[in-house]
Amino acid sequence: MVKFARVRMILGKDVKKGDQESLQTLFHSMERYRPITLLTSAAEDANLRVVLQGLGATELKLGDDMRKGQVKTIMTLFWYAERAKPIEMKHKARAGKIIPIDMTLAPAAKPAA
Amino acid sequence: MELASINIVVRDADAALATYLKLIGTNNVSELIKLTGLKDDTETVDGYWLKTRPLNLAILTPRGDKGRMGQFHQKYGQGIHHMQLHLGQDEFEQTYERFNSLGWPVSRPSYFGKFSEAVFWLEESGPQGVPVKFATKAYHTLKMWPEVVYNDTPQRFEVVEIKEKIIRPRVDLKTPVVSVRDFEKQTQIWATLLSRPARMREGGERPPVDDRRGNQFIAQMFQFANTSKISVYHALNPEGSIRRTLSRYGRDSMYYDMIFHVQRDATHELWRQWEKAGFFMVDPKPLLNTGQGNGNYFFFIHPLSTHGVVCEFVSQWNFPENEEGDAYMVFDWSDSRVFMVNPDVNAKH
Repeated sequence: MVKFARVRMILGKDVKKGDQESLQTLFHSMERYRPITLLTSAAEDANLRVVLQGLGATELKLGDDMRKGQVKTIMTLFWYAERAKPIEMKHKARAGKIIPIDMTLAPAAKPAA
Repeated sequence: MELASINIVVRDADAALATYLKLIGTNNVSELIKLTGLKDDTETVDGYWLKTRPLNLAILTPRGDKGRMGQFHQKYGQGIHHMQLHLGQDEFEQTYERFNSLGWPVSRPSYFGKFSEAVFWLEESGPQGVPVKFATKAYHTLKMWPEVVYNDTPQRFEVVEIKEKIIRPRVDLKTPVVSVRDFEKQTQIWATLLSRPARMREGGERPPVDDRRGNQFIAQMFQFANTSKISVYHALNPEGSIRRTLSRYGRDSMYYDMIFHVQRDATHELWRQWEKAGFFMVDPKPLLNTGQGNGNYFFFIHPLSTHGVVCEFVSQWNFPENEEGDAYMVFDWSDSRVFMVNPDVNAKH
């Protein structure tokens, strides 16, 4: 698994185990604009494994070609449909908790040329 | 009647001016006017008037929270407060009478003495649900002169030299968008208000517009001679941001966003420039609208980086001159770069 990016974001709401949430619903808009420096390049539509530590995980498609070192945000990495994709909450958590988010290129994804 | 400006209310007019010059580009602002102490019937405001095409942009900060803009700012925060329409004086007086006879709530006319300009407001409590300001340049005393509030205003007016140069491709401010709950009723109200039928309807026999940000909406557009237009949107899905915003503010109508038109072949370059300049882009890149087959690019900048205003960008287009023709919209290639095919190939001979 190739590390693509890492960011820490503040949870915007209380969640409990079993809730269906998404990047759109879990984080306020200011958090979704937190800068994220890319650790590697990847091509549009690459599948990213997105792990919200302690909460859950999903696989999302990258919205455009991205280059290592670019500074992006959750909003500019993914189209709305991906940001709104349901993620099942594995544990409860309170609003205000800092959630580390790890993004890795899924094995099938090819790095950008 | 001509649509003339979009007017936004902000906390700090100087900060907002810097933002909008960075957004629009100083080359797309022909003149910048600083207004100090502009007073109408309810309040005094300070700010800037940016002469852009075809609509001007006013950036205003109210003194206090008792007037229209002050109350708006206190209740809703920063954002689009009103649009301004310019009329010849005769039409101005007739429109004032017409709204009065319809029982619509209009303010007493105010006179900006130093400009010889008269204005009246169609209040937010009117059937259209958003404040609309009507203005004229007086060439004789106003017919309703005993009702007029005369102000020796503004305190100061100065044309400001823009020292910083920020060069952008062509950016035209063209459209305020009003989102509404009751589409049929509002369509009729806006047609009456503007004394013209809607020129284009999105929806009806055509599928609703999908903005790929969670909104499906239908729309009516009202055209003006300067190529600007007013769009009235009705979002069909309550979970989308357009309807959620209406619900959050408990309103039936509100200004939802303002639309800038950009040259189609400069769309991606502009998007990159704005991302680099620190604007909060809403998606990974401009979206090509394939859903309805119009082939337009469009994208948004989040209001967090534009003083509470959702800014929308679409490819440069106008209504076709021939209303009966097949063309749905006509692309505007003026100021465009030539790639493989020169746009002049379509020039009339």
